[in-house]
Amino acid sequence: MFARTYTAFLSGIQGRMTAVETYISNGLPGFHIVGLTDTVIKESAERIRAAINSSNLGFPIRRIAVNLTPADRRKSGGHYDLAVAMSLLKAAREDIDFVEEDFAFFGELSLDGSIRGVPGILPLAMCAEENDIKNIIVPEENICEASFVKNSRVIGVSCLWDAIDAVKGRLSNMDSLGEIKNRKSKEEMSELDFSQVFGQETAKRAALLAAAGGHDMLMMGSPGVGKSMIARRLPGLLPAMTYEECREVTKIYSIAGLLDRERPAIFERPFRKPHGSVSRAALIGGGAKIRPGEISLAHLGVLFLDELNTFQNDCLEALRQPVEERKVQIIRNRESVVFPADFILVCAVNPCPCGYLGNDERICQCTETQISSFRRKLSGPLLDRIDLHVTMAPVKYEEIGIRRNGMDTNTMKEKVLLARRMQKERYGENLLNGRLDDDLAREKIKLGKEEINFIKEAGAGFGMSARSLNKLIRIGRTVADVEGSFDVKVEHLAEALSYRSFFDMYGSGEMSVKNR
Amino acid sequence: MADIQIIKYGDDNYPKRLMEMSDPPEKLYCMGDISLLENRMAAIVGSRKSSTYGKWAAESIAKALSDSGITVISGMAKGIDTAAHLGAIDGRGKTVAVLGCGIDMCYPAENRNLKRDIVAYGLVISEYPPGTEAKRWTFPKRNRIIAGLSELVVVVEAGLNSGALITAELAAAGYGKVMAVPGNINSPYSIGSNKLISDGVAPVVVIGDVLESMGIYEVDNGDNNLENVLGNAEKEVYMEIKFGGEISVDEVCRRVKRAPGYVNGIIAVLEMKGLVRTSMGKVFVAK
Repeated sequence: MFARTYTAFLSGIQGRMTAVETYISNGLPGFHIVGLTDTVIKESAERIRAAINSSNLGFPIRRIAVNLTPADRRKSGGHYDLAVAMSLLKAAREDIDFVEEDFAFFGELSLDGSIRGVPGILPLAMCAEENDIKNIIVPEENICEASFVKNSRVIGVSCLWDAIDAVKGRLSNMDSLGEIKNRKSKEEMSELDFSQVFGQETAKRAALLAAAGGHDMLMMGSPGVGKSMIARRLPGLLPAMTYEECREVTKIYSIAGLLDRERPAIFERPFRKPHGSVSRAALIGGGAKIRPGEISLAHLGVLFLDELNTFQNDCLEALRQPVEERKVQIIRNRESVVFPADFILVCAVNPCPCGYLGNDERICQCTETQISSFRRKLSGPLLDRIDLHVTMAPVKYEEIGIRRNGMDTNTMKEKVLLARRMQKERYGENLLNGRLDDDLAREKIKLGKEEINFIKEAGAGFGMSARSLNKLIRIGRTVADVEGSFDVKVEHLAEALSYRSFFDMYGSGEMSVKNR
Repeated sequence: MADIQIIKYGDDNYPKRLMEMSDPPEKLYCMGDISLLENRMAAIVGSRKSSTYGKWAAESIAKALSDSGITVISGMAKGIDTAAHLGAIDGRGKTVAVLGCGIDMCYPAENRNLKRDIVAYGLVISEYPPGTEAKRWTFPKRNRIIAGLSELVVVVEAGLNSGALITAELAAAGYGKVMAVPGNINSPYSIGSNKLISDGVAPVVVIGDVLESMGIYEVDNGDNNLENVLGNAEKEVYMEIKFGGEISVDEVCRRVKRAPGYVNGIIAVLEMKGLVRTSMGKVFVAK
């Protein structure tokens, strides 16, 4: 007696279909699962046996062989339980019958026959949807996140009998998207607003440009000047995510196992703030079972690296590729997966190890050697790729609470949306100034004679590299977009120039030597 | 690497001023133009750790001296010393660096390019034979050479224990004049130099004071022209910075009642023209 059911497995954020084949024959009773399985699947035999018996479905005391295809791909995860159990029941019992291509099963079994939620449901269900499977059976617990699937019927089940009812057409899908929508409006009312940041209008302006043009940003200033406050409020400036974007981000969180009943889907822009002690695998992605790292969890949102100097060097080095390519490739165990990592990078750093260099109120305690080794660690190729650099002076104690007339999130967001519209009109697609490659920038960003002269002067005056000058043009374009100007003018480039890297401004004054 | 020349005590070209010292160096290892030792010299000294204001002061004073034909002497350390050498090279005159290590070494290492420039545009000297490593005590010791060679020692920004104070003391004990650049009383970088002033050292009230004490009276060379080339908006911002002293960009925005983006742009242009400088979110007048 032979039966087959379908499920899927994950490779990166892509699902792939798997068939679960069961063959029941006479012979010594036994239950074997083959197909390059890991321990979780091997152990599933006991769960399936107990679950079927607990559900009074009678586990067949015969020789059972289960094969997971394709045989050469390594498979892991608890979500195979349900597919194996259903395949087994279909083979064993005549009263359970269904068209195998019409169903895909995902879920982990408990010994009592109930079905538990599993991570990664969304990409798995989407894979089934793409393969035109009509009914997707998922754990009840995961129904919300799976409801992003539109073209297939998603059925939530909480026990083995529910699954049997579902294949018999006695259980229909429950609409949980309404519930999600309600949640969404609640989440949108964030209490974070830029008007809560005192002073620091320059840094706020830089944050606006970062959000408008997708530029990465670096803030330098003493502790307490408001670096974290600004970073935390930056996602609020970004336009709301589209349905597709929500789905993509939810997929990543689903794989990482970060979704639960409280938060079944991601609708707000992610904000991730990994600690300095984060490992390379946790930041970039990886691990024995490949998981998306912080950079992918920040996809379409903001990745904030506070105290940049406390991060290990190999972490910072590893950030280079994703910052340039907006995705990350991880190769492990004969497997190569690609995770998206299109985030706005925001870094904060103190001016020196103690943090008070250049501060009026407190004396810096660091030695020259400490400061220069601190700077050396920072001024790597990563910082070279960050567009906007701002230094922040401490806000005077007396000023706090007096002046509140700074920009608030709403005014800033309007400008961001205007700039985004301008960019869409110019590039015709979802492309941002900060993400343009040099060729495209040259083609799409036209400069007048006066502007070109200004750039030449700036290049000579500040000893800027070709890369820095290209950056200058891209930032200038964003400034113009924010101001609603079709042409990039000198004033826009001049503002862009004020966000240039400050690392050449320190040290032994080499800059003035170059100037001569 | 340029050739190393050695001047011994008693040689014809051994600096006269050094012979008057109580413990003159036996030998001077030199790289660069040794005829500079006959020039009139003024020293600019100060802490390695310094504020932007201090670096500005050192550079401006050095440039003014250099333009008036005075050779600027300093110790090629980080901070004030570096700024002084740069200012002097920027001017029409020359500069002399006295090292606290062997003449073939470079301490601090990042001043490599500066040393190369000084050898080309001036003179580097040391009393230590080539190969001598910099030690804690070699720096105070070389300060006596700086003090001995110069007619005037200008102390720009010295903390309480700065080596610059040693140079000032040695100069005062010898035949040199000493002046100090006053700093804000809340600045940790200026405590030592301000203390010198309270002890009776003449303050540098305007840069011309330094020249006057060297017996040079400044001719108005129309430096104000620079301000005249500015547009109205630029002038507005520049004046705020000039009279605001060391102020934050936010403060400039408030005073001229303009958006930070606009003001930052103007400041970047002013910076390009060399009129202002920024550091840690604050702006200063550069000239």
